[in-house]
Amino acid sequence: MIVWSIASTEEEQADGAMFLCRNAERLGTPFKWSTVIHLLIYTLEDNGLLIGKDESGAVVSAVAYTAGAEDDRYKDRARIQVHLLYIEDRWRGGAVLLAGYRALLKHLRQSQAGWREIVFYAGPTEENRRRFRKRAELLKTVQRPSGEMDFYLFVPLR
Amino acid sequence: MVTFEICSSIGQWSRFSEFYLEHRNGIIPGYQVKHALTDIKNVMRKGRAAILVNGKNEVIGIGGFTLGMEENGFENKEIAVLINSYFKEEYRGNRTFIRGLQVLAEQIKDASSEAVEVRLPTFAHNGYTNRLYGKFAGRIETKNTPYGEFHIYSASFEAFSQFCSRFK
Repeated sequence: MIVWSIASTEEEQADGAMFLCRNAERLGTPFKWSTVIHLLIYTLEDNGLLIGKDESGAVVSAVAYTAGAEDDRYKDRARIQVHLLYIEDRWRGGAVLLAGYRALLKHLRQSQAGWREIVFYAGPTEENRRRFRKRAELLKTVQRPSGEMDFYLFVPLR
Repeated sequence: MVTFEICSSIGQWSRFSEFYLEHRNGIIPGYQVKHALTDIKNVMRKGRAAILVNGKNEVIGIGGFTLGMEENGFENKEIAVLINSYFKEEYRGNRTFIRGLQVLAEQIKDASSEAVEVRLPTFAHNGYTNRLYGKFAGRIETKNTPYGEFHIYSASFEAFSQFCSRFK
């Protein structure tokens, strides 16, 4: 079982960031590594790094978001952009993603007053499209330095 | 046997990043994660860095520099500023640190033909680096930071490079 929480202490923030470092080549992000580091700084300023820990207390998953999104230069802080989502292989396929999604929504409701929607990038694979289009709208497919990426909008039910 | 790898791939930069974060309190006691991440971002975008790897392929140290100073928006590229270097304890006290400085001198020369000055900030209480830097550089400033006093040393690139060459 994974327990999700906001990385609020220095130690938790370091554990979360180092977990992302260890998995840097598997993150599937459209961003260069220097941009990932840059986004992590803003994520920590927005208190937006969620980490999932296993029974031993090791970080096995992480979600990083900012209040504000890249496509309007972070002007509209009611738009949340999820920049990174990574779950270790052995924990995928179960309810971990759903638990992480619920933890994110719970956290946003408690801490980001007035937030309206979530946007995120994902690789343009058929599997991702099947998974994400159930709940999110595919806004556009764009060319990034890392290749083509889909850009999604998700508006949760209130 | 320790080898120096100049960071260029995402794998090398992420290993550099992880090591810097893991040892941030050894680099500067109480150093905040977001400040360590800012250092990492700056050296990636405005400079170069190296990881030191032992025979077991473990990172045992890091070093690097930026061209230009952060407070000037990295405009003055004739000044190379060394970042916080750090080695695991068992690799200190031998020639590894000096070898690291030699690698940095080569990289500064390769990165910019304009670099004429090297600045070396160091924690005021670090006796080893203060003694070492004092051999070839002059102390030009002491800064008060939230983490304590830092001494800034300055040397011409020529003097820095010549000092490093003495140990080859």
